[in-house]
Amino acid sequence: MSLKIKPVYINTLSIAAPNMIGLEQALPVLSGETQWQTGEFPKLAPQLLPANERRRTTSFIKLALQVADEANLADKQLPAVFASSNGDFHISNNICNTLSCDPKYISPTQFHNSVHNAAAGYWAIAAKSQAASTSISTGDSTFSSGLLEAVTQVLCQEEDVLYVAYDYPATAPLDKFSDVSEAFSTAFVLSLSKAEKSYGSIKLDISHVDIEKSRCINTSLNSLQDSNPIAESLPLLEALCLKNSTTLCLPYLNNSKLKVEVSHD
Amino acid sequence: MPISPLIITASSMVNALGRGKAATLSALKNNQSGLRLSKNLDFSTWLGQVDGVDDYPLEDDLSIFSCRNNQLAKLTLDIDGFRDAVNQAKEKYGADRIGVFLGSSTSGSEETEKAYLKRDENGDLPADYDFMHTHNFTSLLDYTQQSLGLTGVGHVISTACSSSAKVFAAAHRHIESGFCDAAIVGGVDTITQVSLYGFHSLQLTSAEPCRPCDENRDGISIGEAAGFALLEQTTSDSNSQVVLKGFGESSDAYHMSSPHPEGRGAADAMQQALNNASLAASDISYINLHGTATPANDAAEGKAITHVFDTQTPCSSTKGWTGHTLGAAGITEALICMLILEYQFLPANLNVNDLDSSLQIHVLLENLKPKQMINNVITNSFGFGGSNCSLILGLQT
Repeated sequence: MSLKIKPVYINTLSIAAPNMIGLEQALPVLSGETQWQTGEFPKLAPQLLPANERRRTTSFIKLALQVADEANLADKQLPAVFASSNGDFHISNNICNTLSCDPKYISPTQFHNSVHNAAAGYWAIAAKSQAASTSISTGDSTFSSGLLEAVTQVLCQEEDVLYVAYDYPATAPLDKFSDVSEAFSTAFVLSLSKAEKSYGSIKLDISHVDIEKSRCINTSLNSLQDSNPIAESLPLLEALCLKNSTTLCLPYLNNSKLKVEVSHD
Repeated sequence: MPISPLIITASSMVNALGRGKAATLSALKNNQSGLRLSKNLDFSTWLGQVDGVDDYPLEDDLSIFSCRNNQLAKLTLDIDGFRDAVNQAKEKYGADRIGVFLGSSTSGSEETEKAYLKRDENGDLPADYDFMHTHNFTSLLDYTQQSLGLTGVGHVISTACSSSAKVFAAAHRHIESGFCDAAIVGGVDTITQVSLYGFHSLQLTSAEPCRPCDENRDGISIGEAAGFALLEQTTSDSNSQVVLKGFGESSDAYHMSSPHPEGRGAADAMQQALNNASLAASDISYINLHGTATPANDAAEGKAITHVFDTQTPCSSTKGWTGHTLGAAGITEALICMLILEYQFLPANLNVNDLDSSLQIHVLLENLKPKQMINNVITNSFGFGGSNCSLILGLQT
């Protein structure tokens, strides 16, 4: 019998988006009590990073570490999956600017921050975690493929996994070529065992039927969902917060969908 | 946790040693390194470049993905009978049941470098620049899936120089969980200005051909490469002898661009791979080193190996042959290990004048025809951000 039929519990949950920094601030919107409105995204200062390391990191890396820290409630050194569609536009812009000048000198910090696993590396150092981490992308379907990777790790390795997904808007001139207009990140701890305050369980499958992607019940979130590949997680975050048992369809590769069966038993 | 092995039923590779597995095997056996002195940079360094990539167009209907990285991918999909093997697998499993897991450190980001040189007076990039189909990591996955006609699960892993080793672990998990029945793993990385000037700014490039494990080693030679492998749970083809037996993944949690000096994370990855393969250290006949030829990497890796293995286990870095192919190093060296198992020979660690006596490991200075059967080998890939992965490949038992 295949492992994928086992439920995987989402035991912690965090989010960072305009006017929703942290789950506490996001709950009224995710539970449908208030409407979401866009707003300026603040400069984050994730506390787990020592001040000297924080200075070396970019807004993109801080966006990941902020939610990773909030989700990792038990302060455990968990295996981690980091997912971002585009990587760090700010670093790409800086480095490509430098490379079009003479002499072509890239700062060592900019260079090591340019790797797609920069946030994962800072996370491991700050959390003192020698557990494995991976860093992935699949463009517009990045949230789904990261979730699938995290779930396969939980199922095969039978240990809790931290999942962190994040994308940050580009600056000029790259902004005209990107599909990210709002900052958005989210993180979960996924587990085979149900925690007391678990948000529910999920089972994943792939659907090749041509169906529409799921939308939030709170329709004010539609524009945010379309503003960032990671915000495709919003219908799932809403179902978890509302305790809705439902099956969601999130964008996946080649116009297929990741079917997410959410349960609350 | 012990894993069930996966059989490598087809594979293909292109690197500075040539196009196809036979070219790599022949260069290794004939002592021909692929490294050449670079002529187009403002500093001196040797590179492992692949010839003819720029003149190798993509399919007309996939030309939107055109960039050097995807062209190298196509060149590699087109050789070693790989497409035929994938077509047979499609008949067997269905196009939607074969996963694709690929590693790359820079994908097609060279297109962004080129676009920045063509900005107009307002600083805008040229209108024909296309970020999503070139620079974004998904470009490599989308191109490969569409070129092979596959519609199943997959993703791109980008963890610097461990990227295309970790794809084996991801593929195994997706098969084991039931999300696909077979998988293609691979890695594609072409040389970019970011890599060249980035490693140069860290003073990690050598002005000479790289000298892994040498007392006076002073940095890497950057290379480019691609490789693909088809992984299946069963096969009726008796020619397929090599299997993925284990993998180990860990983090250093130490520094963004330097390895832990005692090789803490590296030792952990090797030990996990052994546990995962249900093998003892004494079952391993050869270690393919990450062996980049930076002073810090080789020292840390040497220490890590002595924590796990007998110091007499033969080791070599093959970076002196191919250069450090970054995000493609994992697959390139895994496929070199496959050739080692199939042809029962061990490649030398090139360019050593004075072996670093502080390394307590048995470095092979010449190609060797082993006296005893090589049944299992391990290959190491470590990357920036402290990302480590070790793979164990072996003959089917």
